[in-house]
Amino acid sequence: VALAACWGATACVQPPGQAAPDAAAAPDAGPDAALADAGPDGAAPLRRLMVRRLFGTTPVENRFVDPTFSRVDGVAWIPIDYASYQLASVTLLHQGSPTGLPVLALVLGGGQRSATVMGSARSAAGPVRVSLWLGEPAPTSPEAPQVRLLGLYPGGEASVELTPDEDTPKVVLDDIRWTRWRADLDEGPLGWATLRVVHRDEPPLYLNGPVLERAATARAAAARAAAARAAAKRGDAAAARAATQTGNAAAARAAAQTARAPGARAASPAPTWRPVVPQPLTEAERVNLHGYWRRYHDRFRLPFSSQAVVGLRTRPE
Amino acid sequence: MGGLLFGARPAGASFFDETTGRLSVDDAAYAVTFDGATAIPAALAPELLDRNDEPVSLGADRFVMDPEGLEGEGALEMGGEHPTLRLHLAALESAFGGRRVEIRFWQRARGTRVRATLRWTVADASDPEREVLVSYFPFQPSGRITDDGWEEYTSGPVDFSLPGGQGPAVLELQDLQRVRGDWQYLSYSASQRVLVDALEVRDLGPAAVPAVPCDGLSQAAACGIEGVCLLGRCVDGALVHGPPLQDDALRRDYLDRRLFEFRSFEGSRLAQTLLLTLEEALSGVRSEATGPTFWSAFRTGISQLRDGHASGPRWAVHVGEHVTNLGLCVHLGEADLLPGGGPAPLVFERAHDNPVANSLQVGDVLTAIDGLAPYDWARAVGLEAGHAGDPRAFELAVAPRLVAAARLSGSTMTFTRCSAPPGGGAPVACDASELETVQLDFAAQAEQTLWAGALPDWLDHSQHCDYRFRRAVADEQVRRYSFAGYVDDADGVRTLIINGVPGNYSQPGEDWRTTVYEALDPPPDYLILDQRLGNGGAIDTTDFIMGLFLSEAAFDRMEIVPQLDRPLDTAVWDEVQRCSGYDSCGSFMRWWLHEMSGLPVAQRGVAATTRVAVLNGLDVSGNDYTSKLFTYREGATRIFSAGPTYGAFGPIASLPSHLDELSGGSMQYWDTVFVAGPGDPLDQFTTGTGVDPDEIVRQRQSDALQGIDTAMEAARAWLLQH
Repeated sequence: VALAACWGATACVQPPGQAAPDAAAAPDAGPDAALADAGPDGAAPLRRLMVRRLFGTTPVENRFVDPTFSRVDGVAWIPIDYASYQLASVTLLHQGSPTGLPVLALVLGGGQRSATVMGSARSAAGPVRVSLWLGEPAPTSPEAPQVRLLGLYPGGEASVELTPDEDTPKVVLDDIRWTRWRADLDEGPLGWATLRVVHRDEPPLYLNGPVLERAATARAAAARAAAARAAAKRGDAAAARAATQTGNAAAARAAAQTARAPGARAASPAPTWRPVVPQPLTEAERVNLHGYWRRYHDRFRLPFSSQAVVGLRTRPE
Repeated sequence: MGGLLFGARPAGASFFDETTGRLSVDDAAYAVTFDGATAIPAALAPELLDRNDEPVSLGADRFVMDPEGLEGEGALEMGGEHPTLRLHLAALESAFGGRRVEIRFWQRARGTRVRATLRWTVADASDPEREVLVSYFPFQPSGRITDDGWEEYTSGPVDFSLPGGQGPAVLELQDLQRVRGDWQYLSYSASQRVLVDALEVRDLGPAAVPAVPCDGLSQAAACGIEGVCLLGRCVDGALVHGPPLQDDALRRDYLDRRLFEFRSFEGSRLAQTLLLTLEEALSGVRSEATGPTFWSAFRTGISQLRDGHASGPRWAVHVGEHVTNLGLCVHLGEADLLPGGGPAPLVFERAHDNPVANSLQVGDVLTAIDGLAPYDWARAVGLEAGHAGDPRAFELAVAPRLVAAARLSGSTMTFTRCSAPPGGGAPVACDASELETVQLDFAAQAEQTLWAGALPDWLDHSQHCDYRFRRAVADEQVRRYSFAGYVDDADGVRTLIINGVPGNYSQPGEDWRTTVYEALDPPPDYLILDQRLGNGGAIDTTDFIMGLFLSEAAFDRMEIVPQLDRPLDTAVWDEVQRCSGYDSCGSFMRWWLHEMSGLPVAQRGVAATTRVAVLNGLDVSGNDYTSKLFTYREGATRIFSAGPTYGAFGPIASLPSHLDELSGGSMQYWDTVFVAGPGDPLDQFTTGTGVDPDEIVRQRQSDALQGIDTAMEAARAWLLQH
């Protein structure tokens, strides 16, 4: 199914038969865009103007350092092949994506059995939700990626696994099948956490729109978006405007536009809260992390002029 | 400044027809349609460049024809193998000289997109190959985007001409892969493309900023709300700082994001208590902003957080990057030969032969800039906004920047001289009648050089000022960051000079360690550690040098702690204690002294009993740590300096760039607790407060006239008093 893409950090116009990729994000659009469905002769315009937002449909209060992959420099994001501790091959792509943000393509190099991308996010106390979109060339690979959030949880070092989000429909854009992956946590890890995406298949794996946010923020945004769409569906622009809490006509008209898009479904409820329990780190994760730090970060991350620092938690014997 | 009015039809501008979904540039004051090779005017001297910056044909095959495209019949396809397009804008000077303009274009990503930049330069009239960059800034999204992937970018409003009449020389569009390729771990994809269409120049009326004379203090009155004073002439503030973000929604998002980053990521506990200052600074530019105010609001607000590693985002590069000190090193000293005496900037060094430097002598005192006391002037023109560290270190830190800052604004510096007695002998204090005055009028100098299109070589003269009056080690590399060298004098005092703590993953870093180790093992009885230029560096190198100076009994560890939004209580510390120490530990770091560098046991504290005099100057980051750790030594230690260190106790983290800005700025994600022994408190965070000297020592004017380094003499005297 060919779907309209979300381009260049704009909001998405939903294609036929599809709900919003991210119910937590209220789409926004130009006030006139919603009014320009057809020209004087009845023909639809070739294109419509929309409003660009900084992070597309994802929230500004996103605790990932770099949601747009603008710093794949070993600091905010690092691609690595654990077998060799060399850099993995990644390419930044500007193309249609579920959130309107750029896409990071992770590709296995010659002889590589896996490649990993890690990214930093500052966690928060209390319930948090972590999510990102993963895309694969259709048909999808039988070898599912492994997506985990590593951190210092209340029970100690652990990770939680992100899994495909049952509440969010998959979308296909430019022959890439996108699935939103998600984990809900009743208590976020302490301090900084690391998102770790391991790819083990030959076709590229595409990453888009990583988000770590407080659950309250996610729920509030989802509720506002749902209410706005419902109000817009009723034609109640004032209620839609109030629901989006933006106080501007553009947001209300955007809600109306989304609701009036061909085939748009009724407002979907906010994704169900499905908390997952952190699991202790596996031995492989420990070994990988140990080797990673020793062989890579010792070189690149020790300077004060770089970002993170290696920790010697216990005084060596 | 307001949002874009969709549907409005501004005169002299392109128009998006919402009923057809097509853009028309028919009414634009100037437009390039990209409808084919001939649609780019030859007067713009278009250049399409390959990845080696070699020109390639801009023939018909570079254009994608589509009658239902955004505008006209076609668009230029570039990117990947052909990452760069340059348009030379000299041909537009006749049309837009003296006008305020806005340049816009559209692009549609096909795997990649371009970053556009505008560049103003001034060339030497007699040698056009020799030119100076005056300003360079990127375009920003206008906020308009289409549902099929076209996005509009704008320069923002800007005065077309420099005071000398020159318009922007080059508009460059470059594949983002190329822009970021040098410092990213990204693979370059030659197959990615981007479509470019509908470039237009909008005429917004007469220039907003009059090209009249000014100085730093008269800027607001002379240049108006859009202007700043640059080299003695009013210019558009957008050329210096970059235009403010134009679109209301994007500007709001951007400000919210930057504030969120500081609220959530900033590790300095002191900075967290001062965040209101940043919020207030940015609140002033949410709805109303100009070139001079928008980006500088970040500098002002962030510098008040006292995170010495914090810096604001950057949207423009301007001529200030190339305005040098002309070889003059001015540092904070003691004007003991002038009536009244007291601390004052003093000429330490005159390193080049040029008309400005030649008018001064070592020992001259900077007594005024534009009629104000030098540091009052520095504060009045906003130089504090570039100082994010301990504010008590401002006067010490800023002194060597004053000459370049005065040049940049076109100010007049006044130096006062009390000459040494003819024929030698100890200098004596002057009375008012014996003083000589030297004035440097940098506005006049700029009028005769840059604005007149005359660029003599000496305009580039520069000296790396290192806060030292003299250097014990004679080595032409002595000011280099990775330098380490030592020398012994006849009294048995060894002087070790370092300028930072460079990482050991390069040959200079390894050489540095070798030299430092040789200087300390076997240990001398008396040592001067001259780190008056302390530019920081690597944690393991800091551990190495301080591990030699401190025994294992003298100091335990440093806790490097990220920002938390929960109490840092016993339960948290227990969790951290049990943690293995990698990415899964919340980015807590426990830095056991001696362990981080793997210092062999036999070398730990090898110089622990040496009597050490530490000479500080500008000491930042890694050299904040060395200074702080010296305070825990068991052996006799005394720090001499004209002021405290910077107080940047933590690693620096660069922030992502948003919206094509040149840099996203930086901050510390951590703060540091020094733990000398097991029972020490774990809540004494240090960032924001530098290490005070045990003895305040400023270079005396009278010593300068005799070639004596006051700090070195004070250090020697203390070392040898036994």
